[in-house]
Amino acid sequence: MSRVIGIDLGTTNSCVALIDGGKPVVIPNAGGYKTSPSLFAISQDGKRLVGHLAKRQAITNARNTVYASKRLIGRRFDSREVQTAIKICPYEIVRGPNDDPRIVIAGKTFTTSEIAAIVLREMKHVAEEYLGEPVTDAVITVPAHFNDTQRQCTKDAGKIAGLNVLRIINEPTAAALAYGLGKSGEQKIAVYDLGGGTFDISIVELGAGVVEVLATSGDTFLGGEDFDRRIVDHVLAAFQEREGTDLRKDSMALQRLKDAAEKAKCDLSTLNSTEINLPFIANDANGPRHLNVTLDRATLEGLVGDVVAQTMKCVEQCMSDAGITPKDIDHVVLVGGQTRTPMVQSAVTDFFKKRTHRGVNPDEVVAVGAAIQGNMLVSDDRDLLLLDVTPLSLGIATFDGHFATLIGRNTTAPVQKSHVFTTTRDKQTAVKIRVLQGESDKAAENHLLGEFVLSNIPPAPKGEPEIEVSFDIDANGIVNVSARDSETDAEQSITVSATGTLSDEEIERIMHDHAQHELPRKK
Amino acid sequence: MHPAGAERGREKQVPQLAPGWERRGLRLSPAEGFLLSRIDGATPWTLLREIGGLPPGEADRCLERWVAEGLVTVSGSEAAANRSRPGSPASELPVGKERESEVDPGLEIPVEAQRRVLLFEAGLERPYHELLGVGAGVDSKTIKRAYFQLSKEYHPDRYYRREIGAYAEKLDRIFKKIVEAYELMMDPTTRAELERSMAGRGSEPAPAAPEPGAAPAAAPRSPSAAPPPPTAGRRALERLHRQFRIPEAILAERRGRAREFHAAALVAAHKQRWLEAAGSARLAIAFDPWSDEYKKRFGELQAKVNGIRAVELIERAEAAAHGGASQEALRLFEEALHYRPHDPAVNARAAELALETGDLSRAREYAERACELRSDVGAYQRTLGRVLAREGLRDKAIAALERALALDPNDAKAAEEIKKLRRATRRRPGGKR
Repeated sequence: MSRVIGIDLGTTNSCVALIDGGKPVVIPNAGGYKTSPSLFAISQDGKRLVGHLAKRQAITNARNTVYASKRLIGRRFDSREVQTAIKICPYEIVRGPNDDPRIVIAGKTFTTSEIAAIVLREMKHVAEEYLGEPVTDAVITVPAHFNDTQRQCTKDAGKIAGLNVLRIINEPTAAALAYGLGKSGEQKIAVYDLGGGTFDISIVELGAGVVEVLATSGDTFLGGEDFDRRIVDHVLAAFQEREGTDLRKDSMALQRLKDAAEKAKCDLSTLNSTEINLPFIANDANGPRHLNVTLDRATLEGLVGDVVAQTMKCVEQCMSDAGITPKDIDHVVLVGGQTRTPMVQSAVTDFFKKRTHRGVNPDEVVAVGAAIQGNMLVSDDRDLLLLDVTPLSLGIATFDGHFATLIGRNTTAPVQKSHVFTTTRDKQTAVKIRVLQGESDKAAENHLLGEFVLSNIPPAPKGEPEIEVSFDIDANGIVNVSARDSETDAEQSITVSATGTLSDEEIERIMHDHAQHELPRKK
Repeated sequence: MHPAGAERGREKQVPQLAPGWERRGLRLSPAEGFLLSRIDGATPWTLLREIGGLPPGEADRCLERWVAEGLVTVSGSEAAANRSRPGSPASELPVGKERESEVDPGLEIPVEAQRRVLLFEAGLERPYHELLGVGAGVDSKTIKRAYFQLSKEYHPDRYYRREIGAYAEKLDRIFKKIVEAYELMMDPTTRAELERSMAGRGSEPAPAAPEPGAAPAAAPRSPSAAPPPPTAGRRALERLHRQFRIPEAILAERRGRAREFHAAALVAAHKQRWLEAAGSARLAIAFDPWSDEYKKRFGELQAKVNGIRAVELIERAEAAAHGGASQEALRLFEEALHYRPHDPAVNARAAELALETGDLSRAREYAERACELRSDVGAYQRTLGRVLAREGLRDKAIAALERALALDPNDAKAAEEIKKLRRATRRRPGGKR
């Protein structure tokens, strides 16, 4: 039996796990860390750096270091997220030939799938070094709100990385699986996921080993890095006041301070007070300057209180979307390293009036869940079953610009649904079927997955022809849409789900490209 | 080959689509496609020849070819009619001899599980609650539990990467049906509808199919309201109903489809997607032309759709009128009248625009209609008055304008018109008449 690894491909950190002897194991990398930063950089001398190495030089080499590219994957260049990222990211983001965002560092252009692939390949290597054998099968997690294009791009990334992606599953679902919840009776679970760069809240329901996502919401630009930034700003201000030196222009100082701020934040999860101590941070006329600031928990909470409040607003929104109150929630699961902060934990506990689940490390819980799902698919013990649901509604555009849903969000796949439409003009002989995904009532606000034309409709008064449009999603999530004229039985169809932003040829080319950049590995 | 037509004895045989064919991959002409679409496992060879829409010899040749290719299998009509009778629980259905042959111990799915899949598949057209194995009136929690339980047994993932042959496709089909049942049972609207149609079916047996040769008029509760114009498929279906006995199983299946479309119509209506709703209701009628309920529903929904279309047309007409395109505005108002013939305001607007374009006879017709429909609106009387004045009918015009003034004493325009007419009279004594 081949092994399946579970990979949590995070915005800031990634993690890989597998099931060994029936128990989940989170695999440490060569440095002993169980998570690796989802960073990729090209150093001044042209070396490719991934993970911790890339992070150590992220600020001094900011223009050539890609971080948080998960925010960009599978999105259109003109989308709000990409435009926001362009404003705040030091690396260059350009428009690709398919209207996709591409990243330029050190004069080379990368697709977002390529960047994700570099991180995934790193996780694959971590697993291979641990096992001492090659690994190809993987389950990768994505946020519950990811649409089909984003999921497909993630799948493409896996392919580029040399992985055979068995499934793409939702992060909150994986977290619920990791806790083994829902084995007895139906339960509603709130998954609060505050990671490095993004925040997600999802309500999932489990029963008899079956998982369903009820609602999901969040903020793509909110996370632990906001905490770090607040600390850095606070320390910078304190230093300037005391020493009269502004460190904001000094990238090396900022790099050190950023690393120290993150560490101080982590310390304050267990300690009441900590010191940020950075000797020789600057030089002025009076000689070397040392930075020494004491930070206590109350100060930190004062700095980030509004960030936490903002996450709770999302939580309220998500709950009201799902039409449920905190009373209906049976379990609360915390995900993401930032949920170690006591202030976050107490805000969540206060809201739900429930103790949160601990026990599984919040950084690792998603990867563990992915590994469990992977194992579930291939092992002999098939007690658990994950019902895959469509993340967003699927449907077609109507003549008046509205969106007619055929398969609602959270519908379990495989599924087939059809509906009858008609013509809007007399003697109309062709109709264009535009396949969309999204939740807006207006077609233009949803994501276009593909389109095709059904022609040769016999001329008839408008409203008379009966055109049956069918959506069919198979167990592998492939969506097939067909339209049939009931008079002539003429039929047209397309397969829409296999559309990432890369063609198969492009993926092949990139795979070949990357093989040449493989770092030599010790056998 | 059988150039002269069908093999001997084919007449009574019932063609059936062999499972496992990807029909979309076939290269068929539309006519052949239609014939293929008529094969439902119940219509005998002779009838297919009749309703297939192909020249006599052609249908036979086509069917023979498909039989030779294995796309179509034939069996006696009895067996086909008795196949998958709805309503009987799967557990009571024995796996028939020909189905037992589908059990293959060489596959990576236990033989017992294979039998269960075959049984479940045979009963796929059962009412939804039976499919889920729950009572008709159970709560949603029970439905959910049953759904989860069935998912574990029949979800294709259960045999992920196992060699299970044709069972992969069977599981796919079964699971889709389970999801359908679950969704319709969980939605209170569709659930209520399903239960109502179930109850209706219980107390009032479905209309028996008429004897062969029965007069068309004898068809039970023949459609009286104007149904949508029949398509080729429907015409053939109706002839079938009139002239031949159709196995009850097929009728029940068609009624089942009708119920589904009706339920879909209700859901769409609930979401205010009227066009979709009306389309579904029409399809429900197509599958069950005897249901007065569906016809009534279709009527209501069609009215709603017409209302929406009328509103759109009126908006466009007003925009055209505003832009000075009177001719176009008039056309649009007239189109709106097609959907809303009894709307006095639309009639009045059409009259005003016809007046502008100089089409006096139409203007008069619309203005009179508006006044007929609402006799208490001064503005309509004024419009009528203006039309009459343009026609040179001075006395009638003054009478109408006076009525307008009586209904709305502040109508300065009407007063002005009257003055103008009276002045003209004084200048040219006796008037035009």
